[in-house]
Amino acid sequence: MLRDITIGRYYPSGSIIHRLDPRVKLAAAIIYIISLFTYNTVPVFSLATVYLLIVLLLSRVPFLYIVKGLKPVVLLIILTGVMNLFFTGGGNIVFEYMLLKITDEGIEKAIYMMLRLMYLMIGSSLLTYTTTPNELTDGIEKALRPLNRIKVPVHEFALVMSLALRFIPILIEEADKIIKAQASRGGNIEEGSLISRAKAMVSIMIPLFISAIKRASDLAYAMDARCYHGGSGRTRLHPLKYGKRDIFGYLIMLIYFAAIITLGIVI
Amino acid sequence: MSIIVDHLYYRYDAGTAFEKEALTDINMVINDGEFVGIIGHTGSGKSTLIQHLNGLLKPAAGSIYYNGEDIFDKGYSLKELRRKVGLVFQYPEYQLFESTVINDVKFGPSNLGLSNLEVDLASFDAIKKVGIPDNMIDASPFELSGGEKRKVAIAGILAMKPEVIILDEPTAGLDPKGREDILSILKSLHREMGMTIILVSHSMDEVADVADRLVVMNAGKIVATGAPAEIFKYYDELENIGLSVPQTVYLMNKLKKNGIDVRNGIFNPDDAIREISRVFHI
Repeated sequence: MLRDITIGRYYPSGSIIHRLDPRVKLAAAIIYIISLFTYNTVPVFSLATVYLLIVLLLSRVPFLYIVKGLKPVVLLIILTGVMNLFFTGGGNIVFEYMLLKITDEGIEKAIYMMLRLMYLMIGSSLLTYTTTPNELTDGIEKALRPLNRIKVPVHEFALVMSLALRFIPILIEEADKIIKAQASRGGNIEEGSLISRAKAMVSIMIPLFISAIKRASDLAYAMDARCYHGGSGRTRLHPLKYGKRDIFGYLIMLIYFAAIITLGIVI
Repeated sequence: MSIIVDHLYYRYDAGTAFEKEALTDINMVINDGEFVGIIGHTGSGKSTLIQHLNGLLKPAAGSIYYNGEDIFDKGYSLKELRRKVGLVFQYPEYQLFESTVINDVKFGPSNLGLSNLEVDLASFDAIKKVGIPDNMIDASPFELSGGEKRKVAIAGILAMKPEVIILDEPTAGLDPKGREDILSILKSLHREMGMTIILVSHSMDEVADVADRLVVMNAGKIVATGAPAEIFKYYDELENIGLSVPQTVYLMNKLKKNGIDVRNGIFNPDDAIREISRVFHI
C-alpha cells in the first residue's frame, strides 16, 4: 500500500553520483533548475534533456522508479499544460471554439512548461534518490555556515530538517500498520459511503497523530539525556571534504551552464 | 476445512533495489478449533505470513483457502473474510482512537452494517470476555494502563465475532500479570467457545503452555511443525535459529543427563514438579 511512495526516498546503488559531495549535488540541482527557466528554445531544452539523461544513467536509479515518483505531480503538470494552452495570448490561432482559442504560441508554451515541470521534478528527486537525508542536511549546514555570522541558527535549521526527513519513512510505516489494523476491523478508506470513509479516516489519523507526538517527545527526552545543546562546539565523525571528483563535478556544471547560455543567445 | 496455505511466496518491494523475499514456499493447514503457535525469531516472516491470512497482503505466488474457497479470487469478499478471521496486530493499543472504551470496541461491528442493538450486544459481550470491568467502559481508552488498553483492543476484534483469531505477539511489553491475563483469555476462548486461535510469538515458554501445535519459522520458511513435546526434542536445532525451548525442558534434560530417570516430553512447570516428586518419592 503506502510502501509504494517513492518520493524523497534514498535509492542505494553506490554510483558515482551517490559518492559526490552533497554540496556538489545541491549546487547541481539548483543550477539545473535555473537553467530550465532561462530560454524557451529547442536547443536549450535538448541540451537540458541530454544532460538529465546522462546524470540519470550515471546514477543507476531505475527509470521506472523515477517515473513512479512522478505520479503525484502528473495532475499538476497536466493542469499547467492546459492552462498555458488556452490562456496564452498572441501568435496565430490554430483552433477556435466559442471562447476557447488555441494559438501556436500557446502550444509551444504549454509544451515547454510541462517539460520544465517534469525535468524540475526529476532533477530534484535525483538529488534525494542519490543523497541520504543525513548527507543532505550536512551539506546544507556546511554550505550555509557563513550565515551563522549574521545570527542565523543554521545548525538548528539543519537539525529540524533532518529530523523531519528522518520521520517520513517512520510515519509512512506507522500509517501503513494502522491502516491495516483498522482494515482488519472493517474500516476501509477506499470504499463505502462518504460518512463511513470519513470515519475510517479519523480512525487512522488520530492514532497516527498520537504516535507522532509521542515519538517527538521521546526523541526530545533522548536528546536531552545525551546532553544535546545545539551546534556550538560540535565536531563531526565524517567531516565533508571536497575531492577530485567533486571539483570535476563543479566543472561539468559550469560548462553545462555556459553551454545553455551560449545556446540561448546564439540560436 | 478451515485455513489451507498452499505454496505461498511473498516479496517486499518487488522490482526495486530493496526487494527481499519474505516468505518462501509456505505450506500449512490450520484446522477448525485448533490452537496453533507460530514461533520464530524477529524477521523470520511470522507477521508477514499472518497478514496474508486475512487478505491484507497479496502473495507473489501461491494461494490461501478459507473453508475451501480461495481468498484471493476476484469474487471473494475480503470484508467478510476479515470478519471471520480476526487479526490483532502487535501493540494493538496504538490503534485505539475513540473517546470511550465502548465506542472503540463498537468500531469493528458497526462497520459490518449490523443493527445498533446487535452492535451493542456484541461489544458488551466482547468487553466482558476480556475482563474489562463495567465501570471502565465509558472511560477514555487513553487513560487505561497498557495491559487494559491491550485487552480493549482485543475486545475490538472479538466484537466482530470472528471464527478464527490471530494475535501477533499479544503479550509483548506487558508485565507478568498482564501477560497471564491475556493468555488465560485466549485459553478460555479456545476451550469454552471452540475458537480457532493462531498465536504468533518468539517466546517458547509462552506458546508451550497454550498451543496444541507449533509451527516454527526461520528466514521466511517453515522449518518444523508438530506438538510442543515433539518440537522441543530438537532444542539444539532450535537454538541454532535463535529460539530457546522452555526452561523446564532444559531442566528435565539436565536431570536425565545426570542419570535421573525422568520421563520424556515434559515442558510445563506443573508436570515437571509432579514428575520430579514421583522420581524422588517426595
